[in-house]
Amino acid sequence: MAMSGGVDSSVAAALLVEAGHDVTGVTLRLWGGSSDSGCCAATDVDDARRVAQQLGIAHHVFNLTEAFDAAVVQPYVEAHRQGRTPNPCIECNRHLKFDLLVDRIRRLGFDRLATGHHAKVGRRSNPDRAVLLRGADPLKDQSYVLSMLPQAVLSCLELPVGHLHKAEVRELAAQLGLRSAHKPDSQDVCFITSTAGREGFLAERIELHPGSVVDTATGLVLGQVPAVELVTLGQRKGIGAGPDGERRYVTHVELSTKTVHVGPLAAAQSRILELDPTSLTTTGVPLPFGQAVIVQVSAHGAPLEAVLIGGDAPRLELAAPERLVAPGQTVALYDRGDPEVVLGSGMVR
Amino acid sequence: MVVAYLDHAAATSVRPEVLEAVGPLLDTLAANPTATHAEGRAARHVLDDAREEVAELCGAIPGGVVFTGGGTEADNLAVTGVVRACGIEAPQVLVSAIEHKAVLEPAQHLARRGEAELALLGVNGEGLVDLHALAASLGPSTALVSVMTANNELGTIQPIVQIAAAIANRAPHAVLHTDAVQAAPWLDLCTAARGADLVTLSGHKLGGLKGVGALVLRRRVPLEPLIVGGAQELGLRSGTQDVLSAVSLAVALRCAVADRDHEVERVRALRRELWQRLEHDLGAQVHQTVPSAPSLPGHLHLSVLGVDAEELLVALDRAGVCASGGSSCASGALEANHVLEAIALPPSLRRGAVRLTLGRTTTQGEVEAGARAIVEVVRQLSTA
Repeated sequence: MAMSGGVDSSVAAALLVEAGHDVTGVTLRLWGGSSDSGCCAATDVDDARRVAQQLGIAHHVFNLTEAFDAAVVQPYVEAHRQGRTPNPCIECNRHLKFDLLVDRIRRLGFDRLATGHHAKVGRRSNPDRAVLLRGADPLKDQSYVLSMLPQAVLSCLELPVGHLHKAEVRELAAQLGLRSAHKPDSQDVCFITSTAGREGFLAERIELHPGSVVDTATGLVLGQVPAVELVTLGQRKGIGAGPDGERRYVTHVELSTKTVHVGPLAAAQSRILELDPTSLTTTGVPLPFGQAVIVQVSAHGAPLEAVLIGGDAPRLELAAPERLVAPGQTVALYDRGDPEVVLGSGMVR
Repeated sequence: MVVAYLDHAAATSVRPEVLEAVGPLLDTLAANPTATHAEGRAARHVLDDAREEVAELCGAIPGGVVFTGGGTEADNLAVTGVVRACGIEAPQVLVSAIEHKAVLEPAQHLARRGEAELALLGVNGEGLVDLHALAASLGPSTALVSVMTANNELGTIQPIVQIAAAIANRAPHAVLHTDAVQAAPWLDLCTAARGADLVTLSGHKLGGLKGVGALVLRRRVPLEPLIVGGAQELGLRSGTQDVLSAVSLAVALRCAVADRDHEVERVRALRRELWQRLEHDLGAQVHQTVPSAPSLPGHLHLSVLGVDAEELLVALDRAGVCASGGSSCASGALEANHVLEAIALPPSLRRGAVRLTLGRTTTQGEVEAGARAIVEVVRQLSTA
């Protein structure tokens, strides 16, 4: 049972113990640097240990700081240097919480891995194949951040709180007297502190360049940004209005000339989402190329209708234009006929 | 269920003699040992007996024992206390690269604050301090040299007598401190740590209680206290004394000294057997970190090739074997190990490094069961 010290994994562990499983708790120590939220602070380890004690299960701490740095932090920094906007939580889930941890627990002789994510693992027509399903609580559903998990992981995965609403989880925690019952949800990227922010974190690791904001239609320079590497496609914040008084949105970032191109909302929208061909993953069935799917482009974004096109230049053709999605962002693919079911994922190129 | 407890260097069980000595005192010693009335004097008497006993067993000046809240505090008092009281401008502190964090951290803290200049003494592949480098580093500004009597992870025993001789030659004003927390259960500190001016002890490594330690004074060394107040403990550690804990340390040390010759032989033979069994069954997959340097009888530090120490410890725990991966941080996670770095253990060996430590309660049956479980676990992790 992967225990972050938060309320979801605490209750998940309690439910497994209650169901009679032989449970061992493990907390991953991921980020060695300073942190003010997220999953790695020492107090969270204390919380996880205390809950394990209350439940009468063994608890271990795995120090994965080196692997986290190599698989999550360095690629995050490098992606920003190249002007992409990665999602480090997804990479952490992919490489550490699942790949590395599943490997490790198999060697240690455990048969199942459980986490406190709000999603479900179920069965559909094929009883031998595990399918990933949206969590019961639409506001807390985390199927998006698990959408890249392969069948090999899903087939040994337990998500004990996926059928509960968050309020029910908190109520169970309170009933059980778990110390994490009233702990606030973790929010942001665990290795970025609220004081330094993303800019402060990156400024210590790569050179950030100021850039000009240029209105594509008129060629006018509308202003400056402190760091072009931190500008995201479709971004509105900090951009201001054009000469016509209309809001402007980022349509293109040119790192070589340190130019941020902006335009009206229509110019920052597209019906096409191009995907990196090497990034496509499936939860166990062949992806339905040429067919309609439901896609989600952020953790709690709205489900969108699209057609998935395969080939050398895979892409999604959305039913309606949507705000541009930054390269590096993950797209979760859901079954149009059975929209709870995750089919797989891709990454915007 | 515990099959084999092989973590005596982390903590060993309380000796029955300690329980016998301390138990009755819980009821009877109510008074504050600094009080002047009869009850207070009685408590003070018990405390001073404990102090005198430790002093005699460790070759201290009469009454020259400061009871502390543990080995870490005694180390901190030695390092910080000497530097702040030495009167040398820009005092230099020399400590071995494989000291316990209880010595390294205060030394680094002083260096960061500009109160001292810190130099780390290198060690060889088995953790022995480089005496030439030591001699070359000593000078008029040297205020403190701190080298542990035996290393907590490797068990390697340092040549304290030779280190003391080098200091006497080149920097006679300098203070030699030795952390003898690990050595105390096994070595006669009057000989093994002869020449050290300050010696650190810890209760729970000896079979006393946790939360008590002592700094032993072999001569009158200027020391600035870390904790000030009522000037208890020779004025070096204020606060009402914990008489029972002090008694536990003194009784544990007395018993360790009485049993020593016999126990050293017995435990050394068990360690040899444990190693032979592992080597026999696992062959070249296991590698002994300190095969030839003098080492404590209970320490078996080894590396298992192709296995990750963190996984090995969890698997051993599940198999009922209590072992240690060296130093762990407060969260319980294994950290990059400065001792293994200092001895330049290759990364392939560092990855699978574990410390097995035997002690007073270790039996032949425990060694056999422990070896079997370790072999099984290593095979499971290696094939999976």
